[in-house]
Amino acid sequence: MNPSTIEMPRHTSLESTPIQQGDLRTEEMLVNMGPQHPSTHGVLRVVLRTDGEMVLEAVPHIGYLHRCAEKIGENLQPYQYIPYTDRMDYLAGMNNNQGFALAVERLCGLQVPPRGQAIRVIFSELNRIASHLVSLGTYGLDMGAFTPFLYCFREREMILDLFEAACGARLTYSYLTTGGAHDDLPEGWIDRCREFLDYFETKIADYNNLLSFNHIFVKRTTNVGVISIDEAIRWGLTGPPLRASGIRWDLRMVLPYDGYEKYDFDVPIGEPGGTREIPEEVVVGDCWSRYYVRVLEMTQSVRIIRQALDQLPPGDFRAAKATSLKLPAGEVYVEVENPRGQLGFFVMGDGSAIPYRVKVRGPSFCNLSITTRTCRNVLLADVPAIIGSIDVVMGEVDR
Amino acid sequence: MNSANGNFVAAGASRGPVRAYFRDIWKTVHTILVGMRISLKYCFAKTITLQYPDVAPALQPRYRGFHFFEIEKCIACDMCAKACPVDCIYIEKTGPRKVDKNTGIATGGLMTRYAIDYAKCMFCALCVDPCPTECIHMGNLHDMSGYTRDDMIVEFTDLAKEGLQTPQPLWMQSEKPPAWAQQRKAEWEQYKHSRDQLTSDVNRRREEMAKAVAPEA
Ligand code: SF4
Ligand code: SF4
Repeated sequence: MNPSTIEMPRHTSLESTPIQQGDLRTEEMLVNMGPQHPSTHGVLRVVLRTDGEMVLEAVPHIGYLHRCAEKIGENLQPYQYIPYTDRMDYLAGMNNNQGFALAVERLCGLQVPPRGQAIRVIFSELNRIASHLVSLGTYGLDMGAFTPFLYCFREREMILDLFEAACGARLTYSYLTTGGAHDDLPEGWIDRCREFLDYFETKIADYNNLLSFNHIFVKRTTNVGVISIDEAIRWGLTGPPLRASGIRWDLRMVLPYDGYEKYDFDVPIGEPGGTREIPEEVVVGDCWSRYYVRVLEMTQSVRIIRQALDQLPPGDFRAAKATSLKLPAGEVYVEVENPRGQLGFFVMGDGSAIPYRVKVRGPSFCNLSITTRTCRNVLLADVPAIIGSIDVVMGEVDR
Repeated sequence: MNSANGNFVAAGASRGPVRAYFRDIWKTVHTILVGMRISLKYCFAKTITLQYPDVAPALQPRYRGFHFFEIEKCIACDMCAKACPVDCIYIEKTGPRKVDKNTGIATGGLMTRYAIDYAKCMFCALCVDPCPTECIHMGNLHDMSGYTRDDMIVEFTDLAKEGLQTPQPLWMQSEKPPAWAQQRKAEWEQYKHSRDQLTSDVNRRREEMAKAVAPEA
């Protein structure tokens, strides 16, 4: 690779790294990490400017998974576009479906029946748990812990079974669609779901004992890649990375959609070491906080699902005529809280059945941008720790 | 590791580096043992991994697999093809078709082609909803493969002439499929080879399917 073809701002000088007189003088080296690197969760290429073990600069290069998802949205009716939203953040298909459906409903003034709303909450929270489980498992994997990954995937498999029972697919659900949900819950599903929640709650302690409080893991991730409140806001972070920096901002709480205001839950944030069970090495906004916020969010999701199951109203699960919508002239921008942050859909209608413009704001895309800031003057082994803790899904970064 | 070294010197500076060093070692061993205890529990637990393909996959009733198509009811109205987001359903007919109220079989023009390109299909089930005669369903077949892209285009009209309603997976051609698959294969074969005995419901239906693609006498 020709270094001159890569544009890199040179604001870190070698003087900032401690090189003493008499040391062997070394050259900077450009290293390509990815696109097929196991710790980048997809096809992400990170160009690292290294000096020995130190990384002076890390620039993410994206675009390997670009599939023109936005343009496709401008050629299909909204209900036909739902299967494509599954394929953006493929670990959280339900949440993506919900985001786009909400945007279209708000544009058309379509009212979702209460049962449809409750089903949406249940499924998007289940999907949040499934997505966080992948995130925890693979983060452990990045840090060299293989066992938690297997346990996380075992539980995730059970959630996928629940999804399969309801909608017939295990990854690309297309279940939450315009006007509500595609089908009603199958018979006995509610009991199965309750059974799973009871079982799952006991397992969270296992993850904590296996990984969260493992001293090697704690040492690898605490005080690494610290993002301050100020930085988090300026770089437009959302989701767990933002909350780990200590800001209690969750769209489900501050701008409730689909009836989230009916449920009682907490928004976990990153807390300094020493409070409660948190190891004393922890600094607010470091990789460990970002990891642990996800663990705490899973417990909150369980709480929400329990309440939604208890309050599940009878009636319709989908509004009538939700597949023959005419999009009125006008535009909406709707954001929902995805497991990775705020997923926004901008939809513009022109009176026909097909949107004039569709634009997606991907949380992974925005969160990924901060790697250039945090992966500066860190050790090479910390780069996977930082990127993994931000938890990006490349399908949604590139769309 | 370098970073670990750097950290414990910094963290333990107030307590004395030696003490911090041994504290770290003790904590590491302790937390690993805690984790080991959890792992040990599972050494004696029942195995939950499903050994596919030796064991049949556990599919749920609503599973969205390769389509199950009842050609004798299809009126070739193109509704499914229009709903399909990727336009992978190909329908050709010679004239309008209508379902006969008495027999429940579509008659009229000849249905010359009904094919689905599974290289494009994303199993979204949007084609199932608008069908006026409810003749296309998501089946429970999840395993099909081909050597070329053209292999992935399934001609349902051709299948109907053989009396089949779903494509036949490649494993059916293998010499020694696993036990569960053998059973499925046997059912399939029986379905195919009992063409002359028009006794069972299955056979009657198959004859109807063949009629649906044959020109009117
Ligand atoms: S919608 Fe149903 S009846 Fe119409 S062409 Fe498709 S399968 Fe046949
Ligand atoms: S399942 Fe979806 S992609 Fe496949 S044929 Fe039906 S509508 Fe088209």
